[in-house]
Amino acid sequence: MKLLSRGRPWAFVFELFPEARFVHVTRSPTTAVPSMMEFVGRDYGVWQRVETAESEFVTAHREALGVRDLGKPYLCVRQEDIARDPRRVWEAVCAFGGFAAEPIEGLHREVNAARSMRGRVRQGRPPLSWAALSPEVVAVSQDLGYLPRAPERDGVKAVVNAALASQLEDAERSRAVLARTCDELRAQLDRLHGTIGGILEPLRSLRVRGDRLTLDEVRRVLEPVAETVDAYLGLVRERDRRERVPAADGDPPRLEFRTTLPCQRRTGTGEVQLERVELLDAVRAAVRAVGLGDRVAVEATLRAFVPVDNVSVSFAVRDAAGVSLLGTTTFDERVPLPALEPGTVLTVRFAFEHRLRPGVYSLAVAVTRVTRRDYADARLFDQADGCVTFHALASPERPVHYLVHEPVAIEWSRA
Amino acid sequence: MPTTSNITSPLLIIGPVRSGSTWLSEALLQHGQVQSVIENRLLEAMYHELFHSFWAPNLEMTVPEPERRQRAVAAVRAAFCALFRARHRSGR
Repeated sequence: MKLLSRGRPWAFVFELFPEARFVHVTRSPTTAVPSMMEFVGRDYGVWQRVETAESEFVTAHREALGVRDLGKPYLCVRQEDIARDPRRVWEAVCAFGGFAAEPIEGLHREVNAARSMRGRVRQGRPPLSWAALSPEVVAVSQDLGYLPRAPERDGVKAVVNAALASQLEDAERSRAVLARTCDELRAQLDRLHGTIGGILEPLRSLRVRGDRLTLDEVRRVLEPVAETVDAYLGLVRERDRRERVPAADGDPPRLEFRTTLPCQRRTGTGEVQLERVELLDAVRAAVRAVGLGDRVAVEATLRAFVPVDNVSVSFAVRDAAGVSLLGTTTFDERVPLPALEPGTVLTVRFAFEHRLRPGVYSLAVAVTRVTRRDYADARLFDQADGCVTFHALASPERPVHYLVHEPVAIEWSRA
Repeated sequence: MPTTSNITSPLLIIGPVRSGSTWLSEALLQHGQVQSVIENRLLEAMYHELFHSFWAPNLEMTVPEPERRQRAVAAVRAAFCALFRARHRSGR
């Protein structure tokens, strides 16, 4: 009798069939879980989630192993053995059941194969990586003998090593980006070192002078400390920071809140500010690695703080040495942008086909007001240099000679 | 036809789905000494109705507990026997 799945009233089952023998069918989760997701998931959508299949795998096996641990007559049959040598499994089942091993037709026949595996069951389903499965699944698999237990971890080690090798491959691709980030962090640490010194020095002074200080004197000592701590926290959190905007003629200087972009350098009046810059792929997902010929877009989101017209947004792609390689402006492309009221948020996308040679590049984006073709009246509101760094990946089938690959039409004719 | 008393050795296939149980069940079906049935959650349904359903307390009032449980076991076992294919005189 098939008594599969989980949640069975086992005490009642034992009362019902006190003389029962139990055949526990098992299969490696690396193929059982994807098989459940495909076969059962076809009719029940929730089974397409790996968590559902994993939960079924873990709970059903734990219950079956509980039957074994109670000392009931028990036989474990592996699906892998059925696929490899069905006759041998059949003989083992017959011996366990106490009946003669009659020859059976079609023992090698595929039964209940999932759609993607029809005709290929003997070859075996492409397995999931062990690293993709939950720790609970791995633990049950150890109980089932699919993975070695803790004292003999060589198999697990191999699995973990394979997973790590894959991760290292990814990490290698991002090495240059990480190196640049490390440099930035080192620079930040240097600044922090100076900041912490600025905090500690007044405190040391306070300690030396002890209780001879009046309240006013304490306040005078602590005020710069509070300012320094504020600056320190702002730096650490990388949140909004205050920046003094240069005053126009006759106007008092004012403070504006400028959203911190993760960029190398920021300049401009701040009247219109960049809030976000992203490099997007063809489906508008943010990317940091692009292949030759990929459709990409530079997306810049900006906010106006004053009424402004004749706004132009521009971008430039720069190489690791900071040389601008390509870019354009909405003004030069003759795409007029709407006049902006304070608080207006505008998003501009520059779409193009990526044709640069493999390497690391960065984006610079700027917002200006300009009306003259010679840029004589240009007013720079905001410019963020190095706000996005990305990798141009190498394609083994299409090398890029020199810096940029522009499609070239080639013809030939015989004389 | 199997009855509640002539099943000599019930063989229960346990574990999760998609692990070879259908292959085993179909092989067993072809054996001359074996009858097979897919349980298909009937057991839970009957167990629930007998012990945890709305009317289960009424049954408790009419029959004392040990006897009620014995009757339930016999009834469920008989139900499963009725589901076996009537192909052999005895079944496992």
